[in-house]
Amino acid sequence: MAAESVVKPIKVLAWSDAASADWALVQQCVAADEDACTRLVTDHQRMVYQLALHLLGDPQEALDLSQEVFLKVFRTLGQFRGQSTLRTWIYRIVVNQASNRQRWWRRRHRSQQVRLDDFTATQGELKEQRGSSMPDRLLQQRETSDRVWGALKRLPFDQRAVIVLREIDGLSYEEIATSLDVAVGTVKSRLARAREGLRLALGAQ
Amino acid sequence: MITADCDSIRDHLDAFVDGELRGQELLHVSGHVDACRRCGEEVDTRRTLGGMIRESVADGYHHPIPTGLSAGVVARVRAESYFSWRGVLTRGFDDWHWVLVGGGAVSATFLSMLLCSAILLFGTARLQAGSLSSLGTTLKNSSGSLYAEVSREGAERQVVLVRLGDATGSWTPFPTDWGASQQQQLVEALGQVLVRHGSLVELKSMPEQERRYARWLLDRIADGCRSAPELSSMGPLTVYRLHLVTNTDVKALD
Repeated sequence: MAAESVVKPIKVLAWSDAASADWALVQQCVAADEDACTRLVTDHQRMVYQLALHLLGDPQEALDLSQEVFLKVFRTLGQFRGQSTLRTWIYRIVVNQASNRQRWWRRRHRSQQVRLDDFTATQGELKEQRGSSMPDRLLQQRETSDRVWGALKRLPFDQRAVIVLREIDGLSYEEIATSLDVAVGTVKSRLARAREGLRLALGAQ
Repeated sequence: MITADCDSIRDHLDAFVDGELRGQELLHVSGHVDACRRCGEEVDTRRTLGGMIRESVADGYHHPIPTGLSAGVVARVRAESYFSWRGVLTRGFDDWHWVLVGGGAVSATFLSMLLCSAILLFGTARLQAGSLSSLGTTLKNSSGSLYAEVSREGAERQVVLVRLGDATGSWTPFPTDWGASQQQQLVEALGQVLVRHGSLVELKSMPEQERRYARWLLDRIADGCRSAPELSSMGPLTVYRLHLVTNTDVKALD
């Protein structure tokens, strides 16, 4: 007796549904609904924190930046007109805030004071896993990661932002362009330069 | 081997790797990459690089989100909202709304009283028998006869009543040399100057030019009276009152 295959219908979330859900959430937040504010943060905190971390390379700075980003989001939420998705709009705020912070660091020569080696040395997770019991393969992976992030950190901020949004967050060129408020052509050229820079940096090491 | 096509294809390799090419362009680049070893290596390099980045994220740089981020953010938003001017206003309104309601009621009463006073003071008066409004209306409608109390200048007790005219245009008994139409014009002009919207306008509150005009009209009326034969012996005259035959007694005011 042949087994009957049962096909369960699933609800397909259309793009317009997501946009209207975003819009409803925004309206609730604008109306100072605390539950909606909490939901907005919860829904986007992973994305914001990870992007901040990847752009800045420091968990504490990323946490501070995430808080700043969400505060900025709530302060300017009334200006959100739904011309882009809420996610893309928040991406733009993250990148702008990270860029400002990066500039602030540069003015105080902070970028020269904090090195990637120091960063990785201070991270408990990495430090613990570098114990003598760590298998060689794992150790090699860690070293590769260090090299990759070292190379990423040396990229100009604009190029780093593009490569992070593309390779890690998986945004399309159009979404990256909207997030960075630049043309798609600019995204392409920055991406090409970033990849070339990474290739050279990793090849030279 | 690098072909002439490689240079043009190379600009599209990133878009090809990222899945941003469509249609003919995709077919063209895809076909070339399959055929050209060097461009294929370029594509592999890009894919490897992307893979390394993603692996490194998954490997050691993927930090868990600190707990309490949303609670901290919402608490700060709440605090900012509490201290914002809108929050202060809202709380102030909540705390003082009964005072505001009471103040509003008092203000509304006061404004209503002001409005009523203004209407009573400046609004159109109802015509009443014996009022100046009645005189003005009568003058305009030429109903009834108009008399003037006149006397010699400086001799207020020797007041003589003279008739200036009536609604039919008969201007008897004086002044004989004073044309009826001229009299009527003067009286009507005096009525227009002295009465505005049914209310009497005092000479002292008139603009200088109008006051002069009103005095001139009164003087002309006095001159007319003086030219009457019965009054010619009285010399210069002063007009004290204007009377309507309908028993309306009105002060001409000066």
